[in-house]
This record gives sequence, structure tokens and C-alpha cells, in this order.
Amino acid sequence: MKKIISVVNQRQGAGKTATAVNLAVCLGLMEKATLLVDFDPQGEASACLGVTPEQTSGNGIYQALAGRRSLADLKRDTDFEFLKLVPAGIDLFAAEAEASAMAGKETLLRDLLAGAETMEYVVVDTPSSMGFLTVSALAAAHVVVVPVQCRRDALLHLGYLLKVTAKIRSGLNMGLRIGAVVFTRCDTMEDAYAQVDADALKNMSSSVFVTTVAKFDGLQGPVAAADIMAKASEDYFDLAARLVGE
Amino acid sequence: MKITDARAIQTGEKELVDAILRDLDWAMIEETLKTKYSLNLGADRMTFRQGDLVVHQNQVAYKLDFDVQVTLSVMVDRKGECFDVVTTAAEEKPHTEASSPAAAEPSAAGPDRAEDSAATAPAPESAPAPAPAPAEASPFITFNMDTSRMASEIADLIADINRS
Repeated sequence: MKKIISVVNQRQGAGKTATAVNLAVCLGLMEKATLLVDFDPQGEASACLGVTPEQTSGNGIYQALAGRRSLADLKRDTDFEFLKLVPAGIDLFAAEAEASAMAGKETLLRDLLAGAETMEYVVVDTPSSMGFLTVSALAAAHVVVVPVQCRRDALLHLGYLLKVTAKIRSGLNMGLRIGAVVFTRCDTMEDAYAQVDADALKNMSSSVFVTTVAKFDGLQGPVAAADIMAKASEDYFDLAARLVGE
Repeated sequence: MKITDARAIQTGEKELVDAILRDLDWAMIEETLKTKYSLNLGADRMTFRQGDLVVHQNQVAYKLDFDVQVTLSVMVDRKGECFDVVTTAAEEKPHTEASSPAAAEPSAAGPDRAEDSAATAPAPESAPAPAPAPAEASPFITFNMDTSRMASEIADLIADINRS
């Protein structure tokens, strides 16, 4: 049975797209049949895998949400044998407005992904907001991965996100759970302890897998493929292995 | 190596699921949804999707999937931050909490949601403790909280969400 992993944080700059893309690449490199769904109208995950806005036009996830094309039809190959991509383009902004008048709109993505039967893992990259697209990704997911910046105020926003997640779990998706909290641009847990609060993070670790991903810069494409020896690559592989093993 | 007719199996499975569905105690299901998930839903708001035979918690189970209609209100404050999501059940709960200043004015979710904002505002410490759903048990996390308490509340929220 496939596992749907939504990478969510309503804050800009938390490292969602980097986490979603690298997690998907790692799963692919681990020879797990993986689908990355770009669910952010900015299409950065698509761009990270080399899909241009021109290529995305008329070929993005919005076409499936609008009922014009099937998910299988939109799925495209990537440079990684086991990783497929459904890209997103600017037209995805329209989905929010169009879905507002539709009953059961929050489960549209879940219904679409139910058809992705050949996949072992589906990774969903979400926008930096808590609108229809993010709620849909939460309603579709088995597991939520939350990338957060390694600083105190990130905890406050994580609190908001968890409240929303709890509501969605009780109202729309009873199987939903938090799979990991990932402190991004942070080399080690010791650094996270120093920048946030050691006791607090150890307390949090008792409820969920808490980890870090080291900072990486200046690379084209996913770090897990561009520099497999980088600390960040190792961190993303650890995260992928954890999600596979659970 | 096919040794029997697949249609016979499929027909048998469908009849089995239909039989289970016919005898479902809807009142008990409604009660369970209400007590366990704080959802006030009648059978008219649940649509059967599919049935399956699965192994769950090391025993054979008949898994019945339903689509449930739930009104979900996303609460956004004046800064554009989403601070809560309210389900149908929460809206229907009689609320005793005092009104907050924010509740006195129309929220970003629309004028008709002002009452809902009051329902979701953190209760003052002197107010009698309601019987909230697990996810609502934690007080609202604020910037003034010390980091340790903030993380403790977050740990509690995650534990509630991940509780099976």
C-alpha cells in the first residue's frame, strides 16, 4: 500500500520544497517507486527537477483537479528511474477559487492520489499558506513532514500548524499523523538544542521523530543527487530511511 | 494459474460487505464519532465508498470506507495567519467561553464566522474548563510563553495527533 507524505509548513522559507524534492529523490534512489506532486502554484519543486514553466503550462496538477486530465496522463519521468513528477504551474492558483463552490473539495487530491496505485510513496510539496491546497494535502496524507527553521519563533508557527493538523485529523483524515519535524539549515541536533531549547526539543522528540538537515548552498537541483557526500544528503537519506522503516 | 472464477469471488465479497452494511448500528457509529472525534454527524452525511477485507492490529477486519461531509472553517487573523480550523461539531457545541476582542469584529473568514471565533478563542483561566476534544486540550501557544512550555505544548499536540 502506498504512503502519502505531505511536506507542510504555512511559513515561507521553512525549507518545504527542498525537503519535499530531496526526500522524493532519496526515496527514488532507494529504488522505491515514488511520485512527487508539486502542489504549489509557484512550481519550484518542478523547476528543481528541471521542468520549465513552459513545459508545465497545461500539464500541471491543476488539470487533474479540474477534471480535464488524469493524474497518470500528467505524470512525467525525471532523471531518476524510480521517481516520477506531476508538476504544477501558475494555473494552480485558480483551483482555490474554483473549489470554493464545490462540496467535498478538500478530498479532491486524496481521490486523485487513490488512483496512483503503482506508486509506493507519494510526496506532496505544498505552498506557504494554509488555504485549500495545504488543507487538501493534509486531508490526503498518511504522514506529515514539517520542516521548520531552527529558531524559537518557528515553534510558535509550528503550534498553529499542529492545531490545524489536529482539526483536519478529527474532521477529514482520521489516519493522519506527524511523521517528522525537520529543523532545516541546521547541522546537528546539538545546534538545534543551542538555538531553540535543549530540554524542549528532547521533550518533543518523545512524541515524534525530530531531526536536522544541514545547510547547503549553490547547487543546481536536489542536493541528494548533486552532492551525495554532503551532510545534507546524508540527513535527507536518514529521513527517507526513517519514513520507509516505520 | 487461475483455479476459480474471479467473478464468483468478487460477487461473494460484495454480498458480504452489503450484508455487513445492512446490519450496521448507525446510532452507535454516530455516538462513536461524537465521543471519540467530536463530530455530530447523522447517517445522511455519510456516504459509503468501498469495503475491503484487511488485517488490522493482527486480526481480520472488514474495512468500510465512508466519505463524511464535514464543514471545516479555517480561521485567519488580521495578519493573515491561520490560527484555527473549526469542524461542524465545534461550531455546534454550546460555548461558555468569554468573547474575545477579536470575536466582537467580523473575522477574515466572513461576518457570519464572528461567533465561531468566540468559540475558538482561548478560555480565560477563571472560566470553567470545558470538555474539549484531545486536540483542543492544549492552551493556545503564544509568543509570550517560555520556549520550554511552548515545546511542551507542541509535544502534547503531536502526541494527541499521533495517538492511534
